Amino acid sequence: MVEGRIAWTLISPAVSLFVVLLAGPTVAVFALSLTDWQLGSATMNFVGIGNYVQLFGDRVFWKSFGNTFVYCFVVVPGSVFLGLGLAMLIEGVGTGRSFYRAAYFLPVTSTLIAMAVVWEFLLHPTVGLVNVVVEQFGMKGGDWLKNPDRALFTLAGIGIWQSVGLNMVLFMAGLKSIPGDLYEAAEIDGASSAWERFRCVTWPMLGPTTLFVTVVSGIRSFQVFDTVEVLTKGGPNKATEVLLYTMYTEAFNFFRTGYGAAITVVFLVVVLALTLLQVRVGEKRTHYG
Amino acid sequence: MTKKAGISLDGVTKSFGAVEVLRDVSLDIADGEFLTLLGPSGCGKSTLLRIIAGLERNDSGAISIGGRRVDGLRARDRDIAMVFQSYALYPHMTVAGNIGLPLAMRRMNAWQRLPFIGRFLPGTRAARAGIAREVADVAQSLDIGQLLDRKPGQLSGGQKQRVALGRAMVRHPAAFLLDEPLSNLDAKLRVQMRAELTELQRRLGVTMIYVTHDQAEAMTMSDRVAVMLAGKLQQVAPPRKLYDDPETLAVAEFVGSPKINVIPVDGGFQAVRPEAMELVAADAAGAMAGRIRLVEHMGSESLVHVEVPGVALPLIARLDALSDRDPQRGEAVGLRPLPGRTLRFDAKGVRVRG
Amino acid sequence: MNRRPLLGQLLRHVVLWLGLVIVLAPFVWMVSTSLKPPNEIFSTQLSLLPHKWFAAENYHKAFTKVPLLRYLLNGVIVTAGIFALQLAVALPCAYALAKLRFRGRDVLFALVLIGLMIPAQAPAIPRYVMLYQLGLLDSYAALILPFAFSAFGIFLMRQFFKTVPDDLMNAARIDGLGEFEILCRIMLPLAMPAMLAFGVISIVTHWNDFFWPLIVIQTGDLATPPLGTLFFRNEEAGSDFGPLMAGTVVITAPLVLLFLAAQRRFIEGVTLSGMKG
Repeated sequence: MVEGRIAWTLISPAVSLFVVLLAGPTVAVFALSLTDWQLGSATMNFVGIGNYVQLFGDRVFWKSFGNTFVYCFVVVPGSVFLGLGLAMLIEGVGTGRSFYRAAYFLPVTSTLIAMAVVWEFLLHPTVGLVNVVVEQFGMKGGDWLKNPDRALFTLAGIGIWQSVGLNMVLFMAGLKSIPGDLYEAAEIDGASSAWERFRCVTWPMLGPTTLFVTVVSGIRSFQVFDTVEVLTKGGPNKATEVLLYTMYTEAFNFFRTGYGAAITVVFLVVVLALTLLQVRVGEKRTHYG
Repeated sequence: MTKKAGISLDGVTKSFGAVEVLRDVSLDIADGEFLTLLGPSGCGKSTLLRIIAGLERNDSGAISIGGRRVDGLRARDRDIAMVFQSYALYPHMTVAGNIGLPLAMRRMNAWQRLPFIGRFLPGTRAARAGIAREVADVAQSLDIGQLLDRKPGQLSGGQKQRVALGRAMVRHPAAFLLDEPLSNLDAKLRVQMRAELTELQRRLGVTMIYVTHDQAEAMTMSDRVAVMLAGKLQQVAPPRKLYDDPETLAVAEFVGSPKINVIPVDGGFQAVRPEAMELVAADAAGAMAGRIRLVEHMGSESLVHVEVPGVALPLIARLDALSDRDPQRGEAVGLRPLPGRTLRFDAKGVRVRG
Repeated sequence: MNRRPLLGQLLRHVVLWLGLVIVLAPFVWMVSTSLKPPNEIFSTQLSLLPHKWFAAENYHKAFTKVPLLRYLLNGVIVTAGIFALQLAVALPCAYALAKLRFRGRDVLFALVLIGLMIPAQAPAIPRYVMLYQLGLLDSYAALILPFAFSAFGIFLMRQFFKTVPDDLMNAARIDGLGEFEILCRIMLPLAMPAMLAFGVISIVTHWNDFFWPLIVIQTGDLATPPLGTLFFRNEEAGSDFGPLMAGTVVITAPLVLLFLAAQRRFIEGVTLSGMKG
């Protein structure tokens, strides 16, 4: 069939690159995680689940795993609820809607690494803007990034700052799709206060959007890396060690390739689990026909 | 100056997987004829049109246009033009660009068609000027001369329709193929375009194959109508003959609104058009007795639905508005076919004459 | 009917402005600091504008300490290279997946959907090993080639091509266009908005990407803007804030300006990629 031949000509570059750049490497990660290979080393031995045994016995790994989840459990609710609140505030505003939208969206597109450097300056214990302002109110600011009890939450705060704008526009899209006559119907049916209209119409109608935004935020914050590398390097005392950072140091600083691959597999499994959840949610919203 | 060309189909078949869409379709269309393919949706009429156009391949059979076999040829080489139900105008081009594209594709080579660079090649300027002139002429004749710089998104349905026609006319093809071209227009415009299209076809004298499920269009516009049901041609005849003299019960039932009255009799059926059904007294000689179930007043006429024992569906009699009868719901009446206006069919639905 | 009580409106604006102060503070303070001399930076007196303008000194120092322009140029080369490659690979594939009938099409589309789920960091180790073995580490190729295949690009363009009616292509065939010309003259012009959305996503993603350049680039001359920022910060050892902030202003400016110039497309585009996760 001629059409088939044309089609395969058109897709063959994509297919070969898919195999070489994505499918192949992803499968290779699983294979490498079963070896003791170190980059540059001449020997590669099959060690079965040896890397995983070592990993699950390693306190640093568990610390890192736990930190990543704590980070997610702060960033996800924070950015989801703030995003929803902003979306509803902005949708109800008479003038200046696109100005607010653009302004709150700015951190999403700006280069995070550069902004992390700015945050480092803002959080400087003595001359940083944050502590200067805090001390104006007569409180002690302290050190935000070197205090082990606080550093992870500081990073989470930056994470919320960076992602709230994205969640906001996703919610704004969701709000737009709620038919206006539902509110009129709710009002006629006796939902007179703003809170009741939110409870009876907005929240249930936004249900799929909310689930979806939550999962997407979860996936994004699970991939936290940039701010850790720039601001804390996992410290102090592993307080901000997160999964991708551990993977990065093992695989690319110590070149323990097999071990790094095992961490990647754990990372991938969690992200895929979250993504499958997203697909489940997403299928209710769209179908790829 | 239009090339005239007849189209002939001989034993054309087509299946999609296990589904037979076209069964042995043979049909001869004369030079300059307006032929309508009429049938309910899914009967295969659009597929047949697309096979003639070269957008689909027939499984077997032969197609010729102007005496030339075209089965193996691509759409562009068949010298036909097509107007689509959705108009299929290029949204990113102006009206002039849309109408001119078929000419540009034929008169300019691949280099001359290149954007920017093409402009500086020899011959491009002359070719473009010629195309622009012809596009303007066609647009003028369709009364859309003032719209040439607009994009399709800025046009009304009727205007889009004219642009689509212009794109078909501009290169003087051997035949026009139209796929339900009026179905996206509102009712009033549809009636107007019906007349305009007929007029246009007479003026150009070009062969036209027109696909529709709307029998009003088929009856008012065509020289001949080909009724298609379930992938088979049932009858090909002028509109009047199709209505008065159907070959099969299926055609009799499909053509005409309200539907023909069908009365089962021994060994077959009798069918009587509503206007040939006389409303008489319940006890009149030769009348079927029944009771009026519904009277629809349409203004120029009234349709009287009469329930007759032994006939499943109510029979319908058409009553002229000038009639002095005023039938009431529940009234007992009689129905009697006008003499000589009963059509007879055998048990298989084939017409029995004499 | 939208009734807007005055008080409620006022309250909304007040809350939104308070939020804005927090959200935009880093940007404002970054610009403000880049204009100030060291003694004002280290003073606890808050003021937005400097008493003594020090912009020229700070920016001059930023541009001479590290090759800032070179970083920006690298960013342009890398993002442009990646996007051009992605388009060249994705467009034909997306067109075939959307509009042509062939065996294996559904399987291929399923693979694209699976590709969408894999996070960029997952194939990093084997990609690194491949580049190492090819001797391509620390080069533009190392920054560009791994991203030539974009499952998201194929998905987005395929979804778009799906919405183009078949009859438009049939009309083009009857008008005399070949398959290749249909792609170039009809499909591509129509696909412009979708390509722009894809472009925004691709450029924002790869301009801001830090993980991959950090791994494959050692040489300062090849640093992309984020990596360059880190080099600059490490050079400064975190004390000379004026030039450092001037540097971050320069690094963030291109995307921020692009965003302000084409807000709507940016937000639409990034929202789409948010859908992808």
